[in-house]
Amino acid sequence: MNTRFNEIRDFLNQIVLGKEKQIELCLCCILAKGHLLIEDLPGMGKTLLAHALAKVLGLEFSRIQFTSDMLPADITGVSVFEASNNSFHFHKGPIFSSVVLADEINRASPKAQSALLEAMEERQVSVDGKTYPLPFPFFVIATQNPLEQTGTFPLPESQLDRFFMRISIGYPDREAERKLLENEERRLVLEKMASIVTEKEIVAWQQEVKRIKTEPALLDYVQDLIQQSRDSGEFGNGISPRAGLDLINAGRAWALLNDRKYVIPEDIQAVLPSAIGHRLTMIQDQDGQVNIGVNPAQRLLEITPV
Amino acid sequence: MVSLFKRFHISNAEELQPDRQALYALMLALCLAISPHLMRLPVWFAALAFIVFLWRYLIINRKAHQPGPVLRFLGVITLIYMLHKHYGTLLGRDAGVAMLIALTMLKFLELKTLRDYMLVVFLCMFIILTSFLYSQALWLGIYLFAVVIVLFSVMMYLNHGSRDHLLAMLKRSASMLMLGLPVAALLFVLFPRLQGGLFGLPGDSHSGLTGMSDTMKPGTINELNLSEKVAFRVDFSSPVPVANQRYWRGLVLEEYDHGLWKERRFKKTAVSELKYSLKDVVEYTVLQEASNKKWVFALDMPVLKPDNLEWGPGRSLRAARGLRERLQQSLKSVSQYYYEDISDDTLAKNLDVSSVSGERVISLAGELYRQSGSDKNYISTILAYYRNNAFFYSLQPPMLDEHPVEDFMLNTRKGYCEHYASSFTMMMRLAGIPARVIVGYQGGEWNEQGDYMIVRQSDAHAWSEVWLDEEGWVRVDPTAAVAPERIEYGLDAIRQLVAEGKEPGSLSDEKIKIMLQMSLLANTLKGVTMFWDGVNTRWYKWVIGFGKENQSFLLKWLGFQQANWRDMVILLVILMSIVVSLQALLLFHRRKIFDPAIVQYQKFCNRLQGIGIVKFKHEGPRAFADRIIKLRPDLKTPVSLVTNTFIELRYAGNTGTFQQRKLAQAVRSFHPKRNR
Amino acid sequence: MQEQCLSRDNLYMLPTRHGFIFSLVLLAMLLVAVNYSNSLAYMMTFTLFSTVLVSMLYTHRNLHGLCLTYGESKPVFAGELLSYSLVLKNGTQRDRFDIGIDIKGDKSRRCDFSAHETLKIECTTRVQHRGWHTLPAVQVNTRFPIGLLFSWSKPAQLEKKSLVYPKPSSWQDFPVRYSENSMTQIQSRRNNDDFSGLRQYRKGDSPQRIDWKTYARGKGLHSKEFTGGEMPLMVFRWNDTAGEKEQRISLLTRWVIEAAAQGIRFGMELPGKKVLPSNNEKQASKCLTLLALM
Repeated sequence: MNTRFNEIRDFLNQIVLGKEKQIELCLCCILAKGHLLIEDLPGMGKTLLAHALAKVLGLEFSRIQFTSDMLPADITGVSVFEASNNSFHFHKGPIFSSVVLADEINRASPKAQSALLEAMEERQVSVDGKTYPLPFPFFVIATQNPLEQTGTFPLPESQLDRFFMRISIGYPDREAERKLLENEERRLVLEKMASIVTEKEIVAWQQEVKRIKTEPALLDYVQDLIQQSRDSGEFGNGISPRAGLDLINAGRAWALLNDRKYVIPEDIQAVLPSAIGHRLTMIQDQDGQVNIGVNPAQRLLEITPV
Repeated sequence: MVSLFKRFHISNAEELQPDRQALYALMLALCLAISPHLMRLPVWFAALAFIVFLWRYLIINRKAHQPGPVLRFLGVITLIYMLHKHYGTLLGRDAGVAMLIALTMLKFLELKTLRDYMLVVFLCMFIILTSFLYSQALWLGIYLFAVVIVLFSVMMYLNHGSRDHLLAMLKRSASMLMLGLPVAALLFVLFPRLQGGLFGLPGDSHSGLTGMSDTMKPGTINELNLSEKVAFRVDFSSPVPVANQRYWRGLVLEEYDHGLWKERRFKKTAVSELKYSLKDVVEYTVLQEASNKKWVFALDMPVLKPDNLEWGPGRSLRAARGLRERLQQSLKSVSQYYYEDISDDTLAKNLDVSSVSGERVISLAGELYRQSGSDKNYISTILAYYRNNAFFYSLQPPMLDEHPVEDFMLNTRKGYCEHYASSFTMMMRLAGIPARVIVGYQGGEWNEQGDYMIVRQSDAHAWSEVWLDEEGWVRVDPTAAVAPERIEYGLDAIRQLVAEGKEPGSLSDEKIKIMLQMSLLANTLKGVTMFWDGVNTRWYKWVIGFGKENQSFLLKWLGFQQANWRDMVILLVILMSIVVSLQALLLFHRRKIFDPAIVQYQKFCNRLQGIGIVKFKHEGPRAFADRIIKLRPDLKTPVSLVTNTFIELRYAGNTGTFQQRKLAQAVRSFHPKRNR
Repeated sequence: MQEQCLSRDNLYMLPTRHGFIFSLVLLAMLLVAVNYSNSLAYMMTFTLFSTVLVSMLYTHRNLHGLCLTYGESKPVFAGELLSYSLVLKNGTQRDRFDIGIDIKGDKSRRCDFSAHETLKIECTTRVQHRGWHTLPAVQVNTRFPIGLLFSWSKPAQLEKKSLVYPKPSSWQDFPVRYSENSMTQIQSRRNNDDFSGLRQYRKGDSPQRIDWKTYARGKGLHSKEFTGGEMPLMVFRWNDTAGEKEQRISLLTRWVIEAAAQGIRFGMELPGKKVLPSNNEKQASKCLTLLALM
C-alpha cells in the first residue's frame, strides 16, 4: 500500500514542487472523505495543485470558476423547457462530477457560495422540488484568495466549518523555485500524465481509514485538546463536535498514509493546524485587538500536554 | 461541558425541610440503633413505637397533624410517669436509657426542620453508646459501628442527599469512619484514663453476674457445675501444668457449722512465707470474668501477692471490691512447695469438730485411725475406704439427713466433689489431723486456636487440704479416689459416662479416651467455637480490658516514666496531627489513571532529563524521540526501542505482558551518559 | 486577580450550629464513657470525634481546587442591565456536592459539580455610572459532607471589570457633516438614492423618511432606508457640544450610536484624543470606550 501512496506522492511532487507536506495533507483529506479548501495568494499554484489532485485520482473532473455575478444555477444546473416533448428537462450543472474544483470561491456572492456548500454537505442537489444525488466519491477542492484581498466575499464561519481542511501553499523554497524557473510549464506536464489511481482503490482506502485504531489514550489526548480549546479562555469558539470528529478522522488518514494501523498523538498534531485552523480564532482582548502574531492552532497544541 | 441551566437550590440550610426519603432513612436508623435495647425495655415500648410510627406515617400522608405543645407536654409527663412506675426511679442506667429512647421517639414525631433531624441523629448516636453499658461483645461492637455508618449516611442525605447516590453516601461514610479509626485508636490508647468513675456508678449497673458463693453446703455447687459459662481464661507464659495439677485455688473454708462450710473471719496478718524452688514457678495471666465477687482464682499455690490484690484466709487471693468488670491479672504459682501456716488460732479452727454429729462416724474415724497408725497412712486408709465401699460420683445425689457426714459416709455414698471434700475433711479432723476445704476450679480446656485455657463454671471443684507435721499443708482430693475421670477429663467425661449408663471409675483410661473421641462434625464445631472464643478473648484482652494499667505500661514502654497529663496530651496531639496529615495527603492526592507503560516511560524521561534533554509537555513520544536522535545520534537504538514499544503499548492497543516486560527491560537498561 | 482558585490560603472553616450541638453530644458521651470506664463507649466517642476530624478534610477537599472566574461580558450603556457570567471550573476528577455560591447583591445558589464540569452562572445587575464597573465579590461555601462543618472562601474581588458606556442623551441632530475628501460642507440630509427597505422608526429620523403608508395601516412608525451614493463622513467634536461634561459625553454617545447604526463613516475628536474616521465595526466600540473612560 505504501508503494501506491509513494507513486501518488511522486506524481504530485513532480507537478507541485517542494510542497510535500501540503500534498500529504491533500491526500489525507481525500482518504478521510473530506472537502478541501486551499487558500493562498494568486499565482501560488492553488489551481495547479487542485488540478493535479483531480488528475491523479482519475476521477471525473469539472471546474467551476467563481465570479461575483455567478448564480446558483450556474453550479447546480437548470431546468430548461423543451418544446419538443413539452416538459422541463434538468440540465446538470458542473457540480455533478466526482471531483469539483471550485476556483476562487470567495469571489462569488454568498448566494452562489451557499449553493455549493449545501451540495457539499448533503451530497445531493435539490432543484425545482426534485432531488438529484451527486456521484460517489465526491470531492470539492475549493481555492480562495486571502480575505484581505479586495473584491472578495469572505466565507462565514458556518460555511468554513464544512471544509474538512484548509491548507495554504506558501512560497516555494529557493531550490524548488529554481527548478520551476528552469523547466517547462507545469500545466503541460500535467496534461501529458495519466492518472494512476482507480476509483475502486480510493473507496478501499477510505474503508481502510475507518479501521485505523484509536486507543483510549489517544482519545484522551483529543478530548484534552477539545476541552482546552473550550475552557482555556484563549480561543473565541471552542472546537465543535463535528470538528473534533474531523480531527480524529484526519488523524486516522494520516496514520494510514504513514502506513500505521493506529493513531498516535503526532498524527493529530500534524493534521490539527489544517483541520482545526480555519475553525479556531483567538479571543479578542480588552481593546478588541486580536493578537495577530499567534497561530491559534499552534497555540492550542502548545498548551495541551500529551 | 458548560452547564448553563443547572438546578439551583435555596441556600439557607437551616430552613431546609428534608424530604420523605430522609424521614424513612432516619426511621430505619433509629430502629437499628434501638434494636440492641429491645429486650431490656418495658413491654409497653412496643405500643409506644407503634403509635409513634403510625402517627408519623399519617403525618406524612397529611392525614394527621404534628402534636401541639399541650399534647407534647402531656406525652412527656405520661412517659415520665410510666417510666417511674416501671423502674421505681428515673435515675440510673436502665431508667435513663429508657427515658432517652422514649424522648427520642417523641422527638421523632415532631420532626420538621433540618435541625430536628440532625438532633435525632445525634440522639441515635447516644442511644448506641448506651448499648455498650450493657454489653461490650465483639459482634455488638461491629453491628453498632455499622449503624454509625448508616447514621453518617443519613446525615449526608440530610445535607446534600437528594443529589447523590445512596450507595455512594454509604461508601463515603464508611471510608470516613475507616479513615477516622487511626486517630480514634490513638485517642483510645493515649487519652488519659481515670481509675473508677467520675460520679460513682448507679446501683443497677452490674446486676446479673454469676460467681462462686462464699459458703458451701453440699448441694449448692451442683448448680454451677452444670453451667458452661466461662469463669476465667488463662494465658500461660511458662509450660502448662498437666490436668491433675491444675487446681485453681479460690476460697479456703475452715469453719464448719452443721453441714455448712464457710470462710473464717479473717484478720489481716502477715502471711507466712512459702518455701519453694524458683525453677518450679509457673507464670500466667488470668482474665477473670466479672462475677461481682472478690475471689481471684490462682493456680495452687500462688507465690506472690500482686499489689492490687489482698491475701484472704489460707493464702487465697481476693480483690479489694467485687469484680464488676473483667479482671486481667498476672500471677505466679508453684506446684511443689512447703506451706507452713499454722498458728494456734488456725490449728484450733481446723480441728473444730464441735458441730459434727453422729456416733457411728466418729467411732469409724477412731477405728480407722487406730488401724493405720500414722497420719499419712490414715489419709490413704480413708481414700481406700472411699474406693472400696461402693462410693459413687453422682451429679444427682440423694438428700442427706441431719447428720450429713455420717449419712454420706455410711448410707448414701453418692455425691460429687463437695460431698467428698466435706466428708474427707471431717474424717481428718475427727482423727485429730487439721484439715480444711478448698473451693475453686479444677482442670480447664485448652484452646488450640488461641493458645490459652478456658476454665468454665462447670469446672468448679472442692478438695481438701491437710496439715502434716513434716510436709505442711498438703492437698488431698478425695474425688480423685472415686472418679479419676473428673480430675483427668473434666465433668464432661462424667456426664458422658452417666449418659451411657456406666459408673464413674469403672472404665480404664484407654476406654475413656476412645469414648471421648468426637466425631468430625463435633470436632469442627468445637474448633469454630474455640476460634470464636479466641477472637473474643483477644477482643477483651486488648480492647475492652484496656485500662489505666495497660496505659501506664504502654507509656513506660514508650519511654514516659512518669507520664502526666501534659505529656500525654502533647504526645496525642503530635501523633494525631501526623496521622491526619498523612490522611490529607492520601485524600488530596490526585488519582492518576494507572498505566504501567506511563510509569516506565516517565522513568525513561527522567533519565533523559538527567542528561539535559527535557520532554516538552505538548510533545508526543515520536516527536520527542526524533528530537533526541537529532541531538544525540548515538542514542538512536535504545531510544527508538523504548519509544516504539511505548507507542505500541499505549496507542496500538498492544498491551500484552510481553510488551510490558519488553518496555520495562528497555527502560531498565537505558542509562544515557552526558555528552562531553 | 483574574481567577481565584480555592486553596488553603483562601478557605476558612468553622463548625455549624449542628456542629456545636454535636460537640456537646460528644462531651456527654465522653462523660458516660469515663464514668463507666467503658472501653467501647470510649472507642465510640473517639471514633465519632475522629470521623468529624476526617470530615474536615472532606469539607476542605470539596472546595479545594475549584476555580472561579468571570466570563466575558459585553459592554452596556449606563442605566441598562449588565449581564455577566461567573464561571466555576471543577478541574478535578472528583464530584463536588452542595456548593453554595454567593454573589454579592444577588441571591445565593447551591449546586453540585460532576468531574471536570464547568458551570456558568448568568447574572444581571443594573449599572448607573459609565466607566469600568467592577463585578461583585464572590464567596463559595459548603457544608459537605455531614453538615457539621461550614467552609467558605474568602470573598474574592475577581479583577474583572466590565465596561459601561455613557448613557446616550436624547436625540439631537448631527453636527455639520463633511464629505469624504474635500471636507466641504454638505447638506445635512440623508442620501436617498435607492430605497432598500424599512426599519423601525428611531428617534431622530427625519419625518420625511417616515413611511406613512405603513403607519396608516396601523403597523407603527417605520422609516424608509436608502442606500448607495456617496458614503457620508462625519467627525464628532467635543466642541460641537455644549453644557456640562456628562451631558456632552451623553450627546456624543448618542451620535456615535446613530452613526454606527446607519453605517456612516465617522470619526471623533475629544480633548487630547482623536479617532480617525472609519466605518468598520470596531469604530463604534472604540469611540464609546473612549467616551466611557473620559
